[in-house]
Amino acid sequence: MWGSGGSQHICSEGFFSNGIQGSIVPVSAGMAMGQKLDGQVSDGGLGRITVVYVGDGTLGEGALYEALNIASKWELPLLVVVENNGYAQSTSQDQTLAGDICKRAEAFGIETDQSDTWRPEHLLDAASRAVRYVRETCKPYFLRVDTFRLMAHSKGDDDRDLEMVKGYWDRDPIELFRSERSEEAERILAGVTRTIADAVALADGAAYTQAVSVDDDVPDYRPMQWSATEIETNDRVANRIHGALRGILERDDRVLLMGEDIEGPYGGAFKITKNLQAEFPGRVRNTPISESAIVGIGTGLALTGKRPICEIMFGDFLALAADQLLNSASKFRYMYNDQVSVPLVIRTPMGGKRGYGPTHSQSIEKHFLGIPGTRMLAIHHRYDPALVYDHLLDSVDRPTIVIENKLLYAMRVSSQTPDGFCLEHSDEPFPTTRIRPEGRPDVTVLCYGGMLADVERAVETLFESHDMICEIVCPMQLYPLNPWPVIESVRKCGRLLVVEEGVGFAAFGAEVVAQMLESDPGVLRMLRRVGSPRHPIPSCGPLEKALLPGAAHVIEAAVDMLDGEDGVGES
Amino acid sequence: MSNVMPVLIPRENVNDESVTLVSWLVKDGDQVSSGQDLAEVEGSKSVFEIAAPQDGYVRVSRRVGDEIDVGTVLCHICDTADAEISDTVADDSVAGDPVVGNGASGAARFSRKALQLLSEHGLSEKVFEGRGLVRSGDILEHIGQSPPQSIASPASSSAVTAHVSPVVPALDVPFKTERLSRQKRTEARYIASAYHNTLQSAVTVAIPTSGLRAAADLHPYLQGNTTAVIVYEAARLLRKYPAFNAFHSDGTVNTYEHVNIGVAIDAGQSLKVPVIRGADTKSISEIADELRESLVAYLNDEMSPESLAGGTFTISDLSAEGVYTFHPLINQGQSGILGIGAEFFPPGSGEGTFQLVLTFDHQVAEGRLAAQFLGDLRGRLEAYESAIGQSVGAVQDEEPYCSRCLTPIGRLRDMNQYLVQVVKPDGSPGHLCTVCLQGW
Repeated sequence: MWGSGGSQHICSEGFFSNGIQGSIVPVSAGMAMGQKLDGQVSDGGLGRITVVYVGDGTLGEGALYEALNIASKWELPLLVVVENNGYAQSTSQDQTLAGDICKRAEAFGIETDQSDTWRPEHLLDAASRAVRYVRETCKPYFLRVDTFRLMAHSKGDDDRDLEMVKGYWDRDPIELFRSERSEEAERILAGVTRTIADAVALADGAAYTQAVSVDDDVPDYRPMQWSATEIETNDRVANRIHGALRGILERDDRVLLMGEDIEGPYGGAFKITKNLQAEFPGRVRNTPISESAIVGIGTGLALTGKRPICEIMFGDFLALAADQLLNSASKFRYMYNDQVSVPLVIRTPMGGKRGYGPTHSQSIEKHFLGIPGTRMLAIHHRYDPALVYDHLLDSVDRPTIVIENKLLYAMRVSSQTPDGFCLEHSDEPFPTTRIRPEGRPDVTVLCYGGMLADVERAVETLFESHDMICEIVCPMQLYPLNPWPVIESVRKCGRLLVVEEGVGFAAFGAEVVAQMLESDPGVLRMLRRVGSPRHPIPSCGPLEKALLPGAAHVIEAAVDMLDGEDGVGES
Repeated sequence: MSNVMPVLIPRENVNDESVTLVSWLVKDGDQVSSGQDLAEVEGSKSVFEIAAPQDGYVRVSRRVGDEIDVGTVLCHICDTADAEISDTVADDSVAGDPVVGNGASGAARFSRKALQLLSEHGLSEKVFEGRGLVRSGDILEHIGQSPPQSIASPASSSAVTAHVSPVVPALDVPFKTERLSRQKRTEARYIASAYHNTLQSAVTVAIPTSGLRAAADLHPYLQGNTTAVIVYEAARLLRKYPAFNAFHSDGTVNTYEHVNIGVAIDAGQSLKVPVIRGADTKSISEIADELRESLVAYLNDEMSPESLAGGTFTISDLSAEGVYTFHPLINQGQSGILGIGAEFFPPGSGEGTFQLVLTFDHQVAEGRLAAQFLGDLRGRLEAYESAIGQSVGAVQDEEPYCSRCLTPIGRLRDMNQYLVQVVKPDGSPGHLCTVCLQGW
């Protein structure tokens, strides 16, 4: 048994534990789904099932109910065992639990049963029934096991009435066994004690866990190799993604698509998955509005060797799945000591300018940037998104968030750049795109994703009307970050303009600049940043346009930057 | 498409923005293997070779004598003997960005201001063919009206240029402009960079000349070259005061592991600073010999770049110029410089005196430490005087004496100093007094 996560995070032969209440339940539902898809359940009642243990304290977590609902609706072979000991750490259930425990599961149409640890034979029977039910019906089951914790939850957090606790010691089946059959009990106890002592000795003699880097560090400098980008298609970005997903579903039966409203005829809020459900029945699935469960189930599926692609309908909703990403998916590989990987893809559209208001228009990727163990990509119209998804699904080895952009979907993928500019991409696996002017640049403009189109428009105007030549650098992989393509460009002119649609405070641009200065302190003479103001996004269209960064903001900032230098720029 | 790899001029020295191509070690079209030297180039401090980054065929695009910017293309290595190099790849302006394919060609594109200037000056667009994007500045440069706006000058690794305010010449006074020599520009860049990266402070002590004079008498082969004595003594003291044999960078003190003392020479042909490497391990006579050789090389203009590189501390002796005191400026990558002034006679005193000035970087040391350094140096120089006074008797009496300053043990006791047993450089046993031992 190994783990790098301590006693709360153990992984061994199909056993996984996590220290976050409730988050393991969607993951276990995903694992059950993987088992079901592998067809092992219908195999003469000997199919594999997933058992998830929670305490009654976990009944307060929403993720549990998202998972129960889906497990029932999708008929997943999941046995949920609730160890009901009446306390959540130090707080009595009297203060925290409304209604009835089993009725919560029954409300989702899940069979339930109840037993306790004071009647071992009864408990064994109940457990056998439960497992048999899940195997035979391929449906979830909910087993409530009443019990009592004789010792403290942790240390020094036991304020329960001593008399009351003593009553349970007297009823405890192990204690009863010890007093009734002391010889046998002592023999067993000695064996257990020895096992523990051996384990402690082994641990004492073992080396400390080594720190391992889960992400590639900043690569050593090497000159980037740039190639001219030639895109033959002139199709819309949305169609390129759709086509890529179809191709991937066709050639890799481990791939599954999950998300809200993604089945036909609707085909997703942005029509990326239109018709795919008809072509690949069962592998393209509508989910309830349960982002935590979508990502959690995706994580569980990935653990069983599937290649799930989850769609989060609006990037804003990624916040609802933050715990699954941050505390489960990204950490499993490390916590479980490299025994597992989580090849999970999450697609989500960010960005505004469509009048969707404060909660459907944001670019909040910065909140998910830099989570160790993850990757983040941002696609754009100057590098075929189909190539990105093809390569990603061939190589995915960690939770990967792909940022799409709502306005980008309608744009055409094209390598046609204005006269005087060359479109090139680097030799990285997820290439950086560079739009290089023929002539020495005055300014490097750094942007990513959907902002590239705005920046291109601005760069045109900056040349025509403001006598200024810009080079655009547009990385695709935002994390782990390779700052060198940006540094290379800034070395030519010493000026950098960072453009991003989200709020710039503590965001991608700030990180790039920090890494740049660490690597080459003298490289930067002038810097301006363009981003959203620190303000919720208004739904009023004209106001939204005025606030969110666009070509006009980029032009203004570039002109202002050069004005700031003596004798340079517009007068 | 064939693979074309540009070979770029590396930044060998932080101060060099460009190098001069000294010689080609291969010919155009030669087949070379990875690691093979292609050319010799000269930076401000040294000549170095540039090696092939991969196997292939060399395509030469520079001539011997060309001044080539750091980070730009020296030549290309192609995987076929007859590969074509597109204009973009060969063009300096994109150097540093190896581009495969996608060449720029054809008609240039003009900004609105540039178009306006074209028509004002009756220029044809054709003149700029193949230039890609053309700004007003590019046109002004073409007609020689104004240098290109420094927009494109890459920021060097020092931030100096960013802080320099424009110079305002005296009103209505005509002046003649001459471009400074490359030498002078490099020198200025060095010192300016050090000036902006250090917090310079200085302390001065006055020392009776008699000690130095005694040292010269003691070591006749010095031929009166007392600089060697000070180099010798300072080098040993730098072991005791590593803060002055160091440099400051981003909140760190970086102490050099060798003591390489640069000695500033300016005998009319420009300032040069030959470096005495491992000065703390050399004898006075070795140091004196090296200094003499440097001076000869200087006068014959034969100084090798290697002899000027790697200084960790500098001594500037202006005593021969009759300068009593001055404020030497710390060199780049160092934290101290020692200035030596000429002998003078304070009013009312018959005794000759000279001044030692230590300019130091306040980021790594403080005035008290600098004063201690100079105090120790003074003590060591004065010790020569006592040595001369006592040496004859000491040797005759066979009384133990300091092998260096020749002070006998009896006199040391009077001074509250002692002798320590040592092995002399020639292997024979000897003694060192605690005065001479300091900083050994």
